[in-house]
Amino acid sequence: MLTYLTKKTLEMLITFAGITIISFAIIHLAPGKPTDVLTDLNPKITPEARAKLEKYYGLDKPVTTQYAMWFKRVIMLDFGESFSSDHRAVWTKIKERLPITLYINIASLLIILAIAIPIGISSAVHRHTLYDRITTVGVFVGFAMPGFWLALLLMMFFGVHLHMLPVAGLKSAGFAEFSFQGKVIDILRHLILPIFVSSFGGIAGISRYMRGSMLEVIRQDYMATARAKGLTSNRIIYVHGLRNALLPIVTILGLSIPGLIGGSVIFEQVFSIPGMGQLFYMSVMSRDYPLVMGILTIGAVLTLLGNLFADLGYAAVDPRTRR
Amino acid sequence: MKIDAVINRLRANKMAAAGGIIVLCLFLAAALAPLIAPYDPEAVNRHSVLSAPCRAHLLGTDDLGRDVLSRMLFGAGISLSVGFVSAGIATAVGIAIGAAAGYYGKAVDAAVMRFVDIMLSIPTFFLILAVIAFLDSSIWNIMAVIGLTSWMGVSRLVRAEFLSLKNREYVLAAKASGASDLRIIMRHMLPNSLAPVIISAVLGIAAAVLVESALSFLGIGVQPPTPSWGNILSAGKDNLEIAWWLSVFPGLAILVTVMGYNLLGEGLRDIFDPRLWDERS
Repeated sequence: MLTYLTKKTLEMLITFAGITIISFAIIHLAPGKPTDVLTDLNPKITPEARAKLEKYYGLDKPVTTQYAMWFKRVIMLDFGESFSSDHRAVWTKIKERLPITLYINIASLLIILAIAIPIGISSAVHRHTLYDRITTVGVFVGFAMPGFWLALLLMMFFGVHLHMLPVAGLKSAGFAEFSFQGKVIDILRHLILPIFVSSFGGIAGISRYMRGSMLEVIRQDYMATARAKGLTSNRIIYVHGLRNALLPIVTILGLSIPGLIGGSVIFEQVFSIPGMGQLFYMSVMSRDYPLVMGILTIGAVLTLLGNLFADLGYAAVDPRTRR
Repeated sequence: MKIDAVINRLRANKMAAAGGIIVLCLFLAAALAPLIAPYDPEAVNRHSVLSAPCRAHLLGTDDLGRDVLSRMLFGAGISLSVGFVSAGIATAVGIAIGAAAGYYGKAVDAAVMRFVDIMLSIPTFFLILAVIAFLDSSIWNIMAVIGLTSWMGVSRLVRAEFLSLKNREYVLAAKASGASDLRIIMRHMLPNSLAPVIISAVLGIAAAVLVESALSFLGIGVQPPTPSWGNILSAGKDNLEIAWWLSVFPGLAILVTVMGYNLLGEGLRDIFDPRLWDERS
């Protein structure tokens, strides 16, 4: 187990270094110098001040040195100062917006698992029935549904038509005067649609994988053995079958994390949720390079952590991988 | 498998046939758009701003009085070209990288697969967003960026196929007779691993269409006045309370299109999968 962990950690470090190189390269794709934006916004800036800035970002040095300098600071969680007018530290800005994005993504992951796994199992067990057909159609629709369109439709129906749910932000006007209970309910009401939208595609995908995985498992010999032993069919499916069928799902979940994080740009933008996705959108639009690099890096770290959890989960369920 | 055998199975497979028909309709809409569109898709009309669907404008008009049906017909071409070109780039890059890893193995394979893992751990949508916003959002940049961030699946497939084909007799025979690596890869190994690549390319078109529409919706994809389904939806969001038609129709077009490619891809998977042949005949 220890060698397994060491190997995984080493792999993660290499991947992390690779990701930072790619993020760094992308910033340098942009025409002109990163400081151009900063100086264009302040036309009064003197050549001396500009030179000072370029020195601060190390722009007078070769690209490899710049990368080394940046990487050293990133490890200390120092992403520099945002280019925006408030000049706050990038890490502070990310830190205050990260929790809401994380909560929404974790909630969607849990919902995806809670809904997709039972659907997948039951459509595998009842293969070729009407139920299986209906879920299959549902899966195809779910796969093809653009998240932002679903968001628009839901906003139109529940927000504009029925006036049942709020369509933007996290808090209603007058939030400060609500009781504690009222505050909780208010935030939850704001979160229903975003969480639904961000889990919709995942439910379709994971339930499809679960169905396929379960179908594979049902064909295995040990399932026939369990049946021959006279175990009840529920016990066969949920104890012998499920554990084996869940294995590939763990991997798929790990792989779907970048998609979830990337998708937060879309639903946070549509629902005006002040999370990391929205911050990324704003930073990209205003070419706030330090902030863009910071969020790209944090997004990658989150993905790596997610993958690590998936690997650990896999190792916990399947002793063969620990060797 | 012969081509006509594939076509026969394609006809028998309802999923693939439905998908094929949808894609065909899309091609027709795109090709005939200049002939059948009732209005100029970019013509602004101050007198018919945000008009609901009616006889003059079957799908209504947008906030500048442009005809939504005409814009959607022209948008079909954008959607098609972005889908095919991006998926084409992804497939070509994926084949090249996967073939190198599978054919040469060892250090090349290890290095290449690590690179694939790195690409798979970056939230791709963040990457695409950053690149497009920093360069300019011309349609060529969009295609290139989507293609260059979505080749990893194909490369994994090709690598796996090549690893299993590498030691087959006909490959060894070609090697023994002195054929070049490139020739062995292109003439002997690739044709024998095409089925999964074709399937994943078709599914890749669907994914590219979704990404393009999301980018255009966020305002960094296809730029107005050029019509795209995503940027019509963007106007739909701004007028959510008064103009449902701006949100409903283009989104439906994206949904049906993506479903068409997915059905075609999944249908092809069944057609190419020899394990399923007995079950069907």
